[in-house]
Amino acid sequence: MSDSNSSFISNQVSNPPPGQVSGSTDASQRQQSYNNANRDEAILSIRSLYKSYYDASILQDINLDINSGDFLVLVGPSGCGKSTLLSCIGGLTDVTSGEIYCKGKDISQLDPAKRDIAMVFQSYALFPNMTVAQNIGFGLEVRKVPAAKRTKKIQQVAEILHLEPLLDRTPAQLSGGQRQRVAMGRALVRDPTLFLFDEPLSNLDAKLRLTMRTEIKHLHQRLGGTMVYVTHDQVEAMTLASKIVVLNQGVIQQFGTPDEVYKRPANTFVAEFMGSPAMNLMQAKVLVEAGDLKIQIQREDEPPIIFSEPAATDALRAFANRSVIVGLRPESISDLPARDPQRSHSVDCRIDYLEGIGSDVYATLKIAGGDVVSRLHGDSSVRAGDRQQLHFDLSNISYFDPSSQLRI
Amino acid sequence: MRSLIGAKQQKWLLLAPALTVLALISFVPFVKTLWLSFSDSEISALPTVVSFIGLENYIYALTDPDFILSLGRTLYFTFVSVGAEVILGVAVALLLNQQFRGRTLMRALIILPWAIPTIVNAVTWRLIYNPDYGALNSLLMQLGIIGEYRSWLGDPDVAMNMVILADVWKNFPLVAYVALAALQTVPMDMLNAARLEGANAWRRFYKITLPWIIGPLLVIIVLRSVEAFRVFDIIYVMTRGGPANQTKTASFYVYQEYFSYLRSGSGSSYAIIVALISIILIYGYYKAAKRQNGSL
Amino acid sequence: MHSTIKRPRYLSYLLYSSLILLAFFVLAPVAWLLLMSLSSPTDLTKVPLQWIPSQWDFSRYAQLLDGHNGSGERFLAAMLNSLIIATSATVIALFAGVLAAYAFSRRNASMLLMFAFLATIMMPPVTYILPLYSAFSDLGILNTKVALIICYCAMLIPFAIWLMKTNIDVLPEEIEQAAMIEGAGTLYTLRKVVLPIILPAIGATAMLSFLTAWDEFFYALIFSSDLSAKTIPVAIADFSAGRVTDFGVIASVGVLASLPPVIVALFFQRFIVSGLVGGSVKG
Repeated sequence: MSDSNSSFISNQVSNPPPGQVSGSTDASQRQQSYNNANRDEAILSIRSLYKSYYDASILQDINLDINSGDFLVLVGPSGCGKSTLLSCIGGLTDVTSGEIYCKGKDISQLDPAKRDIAMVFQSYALFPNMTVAQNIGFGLEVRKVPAAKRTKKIQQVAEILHLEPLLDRTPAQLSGGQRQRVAMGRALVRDPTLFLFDEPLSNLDAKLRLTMRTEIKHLHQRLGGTMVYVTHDQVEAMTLASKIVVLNQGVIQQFGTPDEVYKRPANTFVAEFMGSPAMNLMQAKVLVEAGDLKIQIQREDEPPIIFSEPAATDALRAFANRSVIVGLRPESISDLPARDPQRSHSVDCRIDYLEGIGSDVYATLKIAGGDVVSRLHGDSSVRAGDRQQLHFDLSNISYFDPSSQLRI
Repeated sequence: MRSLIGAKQQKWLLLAPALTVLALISFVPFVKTLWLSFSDSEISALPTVVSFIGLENYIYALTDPDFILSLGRTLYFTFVSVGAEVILGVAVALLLNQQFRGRTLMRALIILPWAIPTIVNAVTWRLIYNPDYGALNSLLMQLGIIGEYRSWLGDPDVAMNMVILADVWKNFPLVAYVALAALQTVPMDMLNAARLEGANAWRRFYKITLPWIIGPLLVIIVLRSVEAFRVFDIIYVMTRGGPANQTKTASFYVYQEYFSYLRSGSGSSYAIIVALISIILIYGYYKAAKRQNGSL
Repeated sequence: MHSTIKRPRYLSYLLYSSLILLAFFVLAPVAWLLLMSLSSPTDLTKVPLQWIPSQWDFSRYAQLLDGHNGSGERFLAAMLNSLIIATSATVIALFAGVLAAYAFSRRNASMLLMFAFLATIMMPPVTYILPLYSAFSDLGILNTKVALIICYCAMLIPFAIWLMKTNIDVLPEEIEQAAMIEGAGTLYTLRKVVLPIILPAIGATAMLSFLTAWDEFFYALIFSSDLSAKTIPVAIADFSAGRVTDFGVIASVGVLASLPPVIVALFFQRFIVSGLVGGSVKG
């Protein structure tokens, strides 16, 4: 909800993408940014968490802080370690080293039962031998909450989730969406410090998934709990999160708000993973002409694209006369002019092929030897093979170092 | 991948009751028997001095022709009865895997021999085999197969085989049920494909069905062998080891050594030899089960 | 599944005649036991036999179920002993077995240990009998039900563990994790979540354990000497070896002793067969 008051650097690259040797100097920086003050303020802090299984390293040097009311989404391709990280937080998996602080207290060696955490599982994990009411009330029963109070709380939660008519049924008699709701009810009823969601929507059909996504979002806004949510679906991540952690091969690629992750990806992995279609990455060269920085993108059989970069940072200037990777989202390459004419650059392009999705048309063209996707207006009458004037909106352009793949 | 906090301590707490019982009732007695087998201990009411005599009991046991013969008889009993149970069991399973009316009833019916207690089974067959008024004599006579009543269990040449028949009757259902369950997992597609390729029924059984069910079958074969090798109760009731010791199996031999001759030292060495042969069979079971289930 | 190809006539004949043969083989001994128990002693001593009794004779059953005469007293005492011993051993074995099964299934207990457990019941009982005999004698519990209950526990536990382990293995682990996250400890989770779900398997295990204990002969023969501990298999062996000359009495004892296991086996056949087959057939 309030991302601005978090003092730590949220747009920090924790590590270069896998396969790259980590020669970076940001280890000490990181140490500074994750100091004890943050740990005490934050509701959940993770400090240099490692998890390995025999020789396989599953999580490496995980550090993050979230505040009360945050909706943290862990996103990444399958096998990236996001579910393991969630399991570590929940206490279902032990950590190899590192600490997990909840409200300033290290819980990493604590039994899951004592962590004051609720979890919604991918398979819902409802107790098949109990009714909906018993499922929801299980945690209260364990804690020996008196029956009258328990019934009242179950009623309240059932009301919020529209489960009142189903309270006496067993899970076997429920639809997928209803089971999902019961699983959430079981988590909500205890009012825990932290809610964990392990890909809760992945077993639902596409339509129901959208409905439930909205519902979870509303619930969070209404009840204001702190959530940690795992998904492999980057759209789900963007829509739900107040903070996103992008994981790949056990390493945090970026930790930031959805906006930061989307507009200012920390490296090429994040750039390509977040957003659909993915961000276009193009080989380019940085030229300096009369003190002005110009970016040149080569095209086959066509004149190169050259535009000036008036907002060049010092870091980018350091790349003068060297190559960089330019990142532009499909919506930044359009048949409509950019909002800021200062940052718009028009190029005559040949369209290779088209994919209409109704509201928009995605046009693919060849630039710098690769496919580049641009988003045209849904009414565009352009056909494959046509030439079209495209407007490059440079206001959200990203630059990456070709050797480290990191953002410049 | 998953491991839980405190799982190790919990593991031993959960195992504790089972472990205690098995340690006291199985493990400790086994070690004690092993120890006795190296001694000249005898069962007596008076406290006696027991001395360690090394391998003497074993040397005696392995040169005792009666004991060696009883081991041979036990192996004969094991191989013949388990062999017959497997052939009969698989045949019955194939039969009960066909489509016919009353199949469910037939499948239920064959649990009957298994459910009859072993001792009742032994008594029943002893009555059937009775030389004077037995049902087998009467039936074979009425069918004109034999001319006069015979003493089935009194004839040293056939007594063991008659005991085996009783054992097979009782135990073939177990093999049949395992084989039937395995048969139901044979993919119909494979059989139909073979049928289309022109393979006849025998070939289909030999090339597809049998390899498919051999894993589970092997497990039950070894398990039954382990059980058959320690046969005691049916022998005790039907023949007491007779006639002329022809049905005296190893367990029965040890039993007599202990409780008739009261020689606990040499009896223990017999028991340990029987146990060692069992261990070989048990190892076979381990291999077969591991092959079948991956882990165990 | 139903084959649409019609069977040739000769195969049908073969099939049905095999089935009749099988039914005869399975039923004849049981039927004869029943007939013997209901035939008069004169019918049973005819040569050749009078297969169908000339008159039905229920006197042995009346005699056996009457505790005021010698054989009735012996029989009823043995039935009661068997019932008490088999039930107690089953209950204890289930309790110890379910805990250990959970350790093997969910707490990474070594499979080698599981196998060692199973190996203990595969060993011939003669390997254990003498030290047990002297230990029970020292404790003064020879010829008591307690001695047999203890022995039967050791006999039933490994099997119970194995059966329940295979059933816990296939449960989705997330359900137990959910219970733990909700604050439940291991025992609470076992009691409230795992056990209710595997109740059918526990039922099958209980029945198989009970039948195994009901059937046991060797330990009972050695450790019991009179009515205070003799179980029904030992009583039957006594009847058949003793002075009883009427086959009908022996047969009646056999029928009555078979009734509990046969009834359990026929009524819960599906359960029991799945339990028997479980270890060897996968899926």
